[in-house]
Amino acid sequence: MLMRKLSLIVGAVLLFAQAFSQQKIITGKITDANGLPVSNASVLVKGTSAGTTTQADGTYSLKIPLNGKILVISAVGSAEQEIVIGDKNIISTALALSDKNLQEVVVVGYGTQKKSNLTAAVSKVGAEKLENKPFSSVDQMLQGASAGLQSTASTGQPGANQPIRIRGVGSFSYGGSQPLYIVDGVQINSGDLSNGNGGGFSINPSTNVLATINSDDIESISVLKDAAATSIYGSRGGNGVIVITTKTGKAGRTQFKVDVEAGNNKVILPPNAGRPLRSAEWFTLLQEGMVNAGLSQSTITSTLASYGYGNGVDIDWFNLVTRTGTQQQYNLSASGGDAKNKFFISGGFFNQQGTTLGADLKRITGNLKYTHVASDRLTFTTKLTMGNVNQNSVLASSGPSGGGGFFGNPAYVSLVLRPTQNPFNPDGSYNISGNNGGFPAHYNPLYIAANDKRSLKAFNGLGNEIVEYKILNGLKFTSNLGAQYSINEEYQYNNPFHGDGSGSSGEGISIFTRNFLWDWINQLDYHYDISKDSKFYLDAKVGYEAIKNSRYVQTGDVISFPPKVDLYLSTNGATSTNGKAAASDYAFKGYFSSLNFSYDERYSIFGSFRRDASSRFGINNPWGNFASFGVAWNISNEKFMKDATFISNLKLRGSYGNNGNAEIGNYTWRPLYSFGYNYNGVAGGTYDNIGNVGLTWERNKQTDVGIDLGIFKNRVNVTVDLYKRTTAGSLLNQQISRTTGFTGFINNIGNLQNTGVEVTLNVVPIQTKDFTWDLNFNFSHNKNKITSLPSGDQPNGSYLLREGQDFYSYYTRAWAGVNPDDGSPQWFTDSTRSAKTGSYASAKQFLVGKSATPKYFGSLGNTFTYRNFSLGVDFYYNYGNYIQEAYARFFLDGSFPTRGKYAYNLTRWQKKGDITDVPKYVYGTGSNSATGSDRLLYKGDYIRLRNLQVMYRLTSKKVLDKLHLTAFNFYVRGTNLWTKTYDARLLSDPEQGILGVNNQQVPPSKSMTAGVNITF
Amino acid sequence: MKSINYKNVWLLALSAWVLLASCSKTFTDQKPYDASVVPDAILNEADMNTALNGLYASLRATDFYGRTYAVKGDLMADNCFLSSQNSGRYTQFNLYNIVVNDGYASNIWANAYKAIKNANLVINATLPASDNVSQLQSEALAIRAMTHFDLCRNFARPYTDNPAGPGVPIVLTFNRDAKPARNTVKEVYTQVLADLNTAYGLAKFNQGAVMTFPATGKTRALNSSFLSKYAIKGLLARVYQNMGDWANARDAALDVVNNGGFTLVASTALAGYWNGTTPRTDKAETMFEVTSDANNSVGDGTLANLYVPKTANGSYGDILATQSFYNSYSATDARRLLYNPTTRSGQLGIAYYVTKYPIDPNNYDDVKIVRYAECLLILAEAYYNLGDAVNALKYLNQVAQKRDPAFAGYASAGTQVLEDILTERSKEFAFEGYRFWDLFRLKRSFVKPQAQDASNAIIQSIMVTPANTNLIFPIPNDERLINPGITQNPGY
Repeated sequence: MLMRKLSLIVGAVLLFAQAFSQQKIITGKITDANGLPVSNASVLVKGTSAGTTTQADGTYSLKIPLNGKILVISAVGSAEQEIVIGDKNIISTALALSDKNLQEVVVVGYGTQKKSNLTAAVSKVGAEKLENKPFSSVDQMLQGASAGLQSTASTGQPGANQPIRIRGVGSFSYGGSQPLYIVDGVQINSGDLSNGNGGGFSINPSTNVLATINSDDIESISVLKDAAATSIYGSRGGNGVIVITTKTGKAGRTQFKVDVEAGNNKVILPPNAGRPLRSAEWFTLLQEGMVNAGLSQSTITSTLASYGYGNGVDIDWFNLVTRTGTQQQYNLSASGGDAKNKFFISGGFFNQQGTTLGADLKRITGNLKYTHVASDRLTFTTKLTMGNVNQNSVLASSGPSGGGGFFGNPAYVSLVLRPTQNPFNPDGSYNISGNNGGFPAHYNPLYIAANDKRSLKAFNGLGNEIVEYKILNGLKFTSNLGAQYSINEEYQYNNPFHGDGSGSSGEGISIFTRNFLWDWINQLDYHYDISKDSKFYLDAKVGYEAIKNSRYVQTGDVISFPPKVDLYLSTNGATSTNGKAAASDYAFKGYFSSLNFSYDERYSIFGSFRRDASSRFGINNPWGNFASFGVAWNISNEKFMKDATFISNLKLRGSYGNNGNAEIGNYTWRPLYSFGYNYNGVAGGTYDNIGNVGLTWERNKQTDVGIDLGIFKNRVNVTVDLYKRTTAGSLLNQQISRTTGFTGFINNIGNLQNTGVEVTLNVVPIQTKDFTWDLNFNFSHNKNKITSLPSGDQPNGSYLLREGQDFYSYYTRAWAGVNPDDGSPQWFTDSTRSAKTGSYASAKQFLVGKSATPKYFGSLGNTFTYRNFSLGVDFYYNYGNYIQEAYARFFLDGSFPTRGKYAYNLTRWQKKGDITDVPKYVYGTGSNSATGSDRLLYKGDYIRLRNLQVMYRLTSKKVLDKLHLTAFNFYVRGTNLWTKTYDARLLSDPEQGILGVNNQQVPPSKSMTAGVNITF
Repeated sequence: MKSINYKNVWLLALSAWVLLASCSKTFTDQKPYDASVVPDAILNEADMNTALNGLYASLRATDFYGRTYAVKGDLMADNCFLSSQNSGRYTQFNLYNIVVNDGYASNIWANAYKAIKNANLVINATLPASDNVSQLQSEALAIRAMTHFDLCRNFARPYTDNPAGPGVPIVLTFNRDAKPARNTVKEVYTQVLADLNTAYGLAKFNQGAVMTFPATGKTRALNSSFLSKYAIKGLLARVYQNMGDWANARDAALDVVNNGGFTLVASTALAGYWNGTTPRTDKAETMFEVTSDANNSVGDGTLANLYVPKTANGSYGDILATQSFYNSYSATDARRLLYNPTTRSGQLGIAYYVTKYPIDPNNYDDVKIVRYAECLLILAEAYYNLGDAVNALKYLNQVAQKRDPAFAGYASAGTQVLEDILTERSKEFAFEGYRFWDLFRLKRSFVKPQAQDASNAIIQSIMVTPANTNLIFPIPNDERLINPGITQNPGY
């Protein structure tokens, strides 16, 4: 018995050894269509775990297991090949260039789709556009990357949230107009998750979930723009969807990638008109202003003396509060595996020191992706994407219109402080005295930056567990359970000696915010080859999704600190106040489906349907139905086009569908009697939200017609889309008479319309053996209009909502210039602009015909490649909007004469006949010349050199082999190096967010970096 | 192979189950953690007390009783000016260049009607009658009256000017879709008087009393944070005074003086009184104040933060008393200690800071709304107007001599008695927001100082006549856009 067992084991071993001995080694070389070697091509033995990747010279060597029958060879940009092994020992092949337009696969909602039969308007941004960029978050990198997508910064704070609009403003609320972000299938919490987002108190005025994600870990971003693409996201797709897919492992030899980049940031100086005045200029104005105000000579003399006239102090505050910041990033990754197991791991460090004192960001990221093919049918994938951010912010308020007008904000006080104030005492210590040469009202920003703290420690973890099971041929079940866990620890310390904490002997405020979101998607995908020869087939999917998020916020304030500045944590303080916990939840559930018929690579028909319910909608109407329909016709594949050889691709697309928007408060629909309105130490409550139990989805409908054209073997590719979006029954905080005790209630009222055109052009004007010129251009034009507002005109900050008008139409007084006779300010009395008045109170407010919405914007990119060198030159342009100066009254004209002033004041009226835009400078004037009129609206047009890059690519195999590398690149890059503006009066950088307001936040920066990319 | 088929069947069944298993209906019914539904707001006495606290808390807003009301009442009058070095707040009050989209006016309007809405919730609640319900509703009625009264003063010409002129909308019930026109000034005052008289009739407790809620056993001590019985009567006296209804003003004030049990503190205790931040139960000085505490406050948006200089603590010190006003206090007047003459950077001359309000980060300052001294001085003014100079001087001197024990007392005659009363009012209620209203209701012209030179002489000022359109606020733009039927005030 024992013997028999033993012999069996021995037999098995022998058999195994024999099998092993029968393994053969196959070598070969993989080349591309031009015969050039392809490195990193994957060579796999089908149905086994054996596989490798090719060397830099395209060669490979692979042991073939006994059961190996077929080699599968693939490489990026090439068509996959399968070769039967048979008796061959050498298998070399030339991979055909994949026809980009036919073979390219794009990520769409709940899956991928071949670009050739895509009926929707989708822009794809590949990894090459996202890797090693000196920006803290991907939303910043999306500026100019896709037609129809507007991404504009309102602050230069590293780690700030960057608002994005896709195809215009489609909803009335600011937050509601943001696109939905999907990361690896999960509808994540995006934007600013810190406490106070939306205008309340926040330690960090702007934080960004996307800043916790390393763009180097992103494989691709799909910008879903039309209804055929977004409708499957139903309730949340109304304002576009940005689908982020992270990198996963690729089978083959383990490949390591190291990217290092370092450099520095410098502040972008304000335009000449916005330069803060220096002492001599400032005293000239002060003196002139007092004379003009009719003050006596003795008063003038004593006032000048009190500001230190003649004592030689001349401080450039802007220079003092800004600095050259360092910028570094290190990214490492390893990727590999075989046919059964694939992995991707990465780690990254990103450091961006802001150009304003006290603003910086450090990020550490880690990733693990693992896929296990358990059988032909069953695959497990685990994805972990984690990021930790340490951000320090300057003092400002949060929210889209958050202002920087704080005594402790260095960016703002550098304008407020007079050039005659000395930041240092004679002994070199910080001057924090309260006298006139010191800091009686606004704080010494150098002391504040050195001693106060406002930090964010954010962790964001994304995890997915994905199970795929091929039930039948063509029928696949996928369950994707995703989770997002975000923590924001915010801490603010105001020192006990100078600044906001001096009144309370130091103050420490801590805010802890946690969001836990889970999103479970279960779906069936079905591919059916109707004609059995892949000529006519259908793809269908049906699924169910449930999402739940719970938010928890803990706050604690402590005052009375020990008289030190290094013990900043609030455990050192004496008195605790306001220790509270709060929470808020939301949930979504929905059924989704789509169906796509494709015939002969010529005709495609697509339809989708989703039914969604959300906790954010009224108990009477939680469900909404969303559907879309799209068609595509590849004309270039028609027989009659055979002779038109210069046309390589011609496709017409059209789609129509609807979706919604759910970005409203979690409980906004509920009539609420809320607590927390306490008095005399006892709990109090009040009726504080009217609510609307019938609240339901806004109906966002979109029609899109597009054409994709490729000519001269795709040397010229053009994509043009025309669209019309209408939003009916919008979610509007309908304003009501204040006499009700409320300012408004949420309602489905009012219609918006966006119509526009998008053009994307990719051209290779020159392509020779040594030299290539690649040109990318995109253009977006969007016209926004409020088409219906049954509840009537409604104020909206600086704008007015009115039927027939653009959403961001400025409502203010019309400036009529300075009276050349006496230098007094003038306004037009009303919208007829026929009569001028010198009295601000007599000037009516009206829609002055200017808007914060750009008429068009886009980018122009060039890549010139000569042998191993390449030069990239990318511009971003923006035209047709106006930006406003929210704080101009302090720094323009004489109304706040003791504050610092803009250089623009030097062009003031001085004598009869002077033609100028700046009135006579009068000390303490109450004329309101620098308040609320279109004098303070500036052309927001600009062209910016967004990126300038010179790269050297090492291609010599000899050298690479010597170095044991497969690729080596070295580059030098500058961002935002040059900006051209079109308004000589401009006081600030023209890029001021979606709302177009200069709120004295952190000014923008430019960077110079150098980097290397190494692959081995 | 067969087994795999079974596996397939199981997996198919499982996937179908997962796909179709809709979560329970409650999944999309997420309830808030900090709110309940409106119908459940006031189900019993304790709930009504909670709602009343919510109402009191709404009075605390900065652009309301918290700060702006009081600032307007002084900065737009004749005793102070905005320092040439300031934080940028209230410049339009100093310059008299308020325009139609004034933010303070807009906020006050919204905050006042918010308070009225909160009051109506309590007033219109129906609970079984009891002393507690009666008391709680009386306080809500009094606040509704006070809020309408102050709104009407700020947004309409005085009652003494033209009772038939446009006042403000009276709101007694919540109606989401209402777009009310303005009631006349007379209608507003009629409603205010009705509410105050009803409130006084319903009031069961004076300051210092303790209420008990039988259902919970919890108590409610009526300290100065609340409008107790005689504080309501004090408000009534003020309303009659503003109407020039002197007989009723006298009766109301006399009721407080004779029956309220309130006292003035000794002059030596006055500075300590102002420095105190704890609500009182001893009926000394404060009849009603809007209180704050470390956890519930408007943060930096307080009177203290605006008036008290930064050198004392991180605050603004924007508004300075004129030298002549400071000098109107005799050296022995205890109220003189409520100022701090010193230097202010960027400000020529001596800066007379107002230090009436304590900066205490643990217990933000409380805003006095009704003080016993006011009742005494209303009484004096009422007697004067009713031709009884003897009693007028009696009550006038009760205040004047309490504050300045060395003062021999006013002994004037004729119209000088009224001038003395007004002088005493301006000294007593300085920087509590009274002066402007005294000048306006009496339709007096005055010189509003705006800046001083190194010798403290006023070098910039404007003459304000009763016809000045900036004396009342504009009806806010955001109201008029929504409610176009509401008429605007002249000059805006």
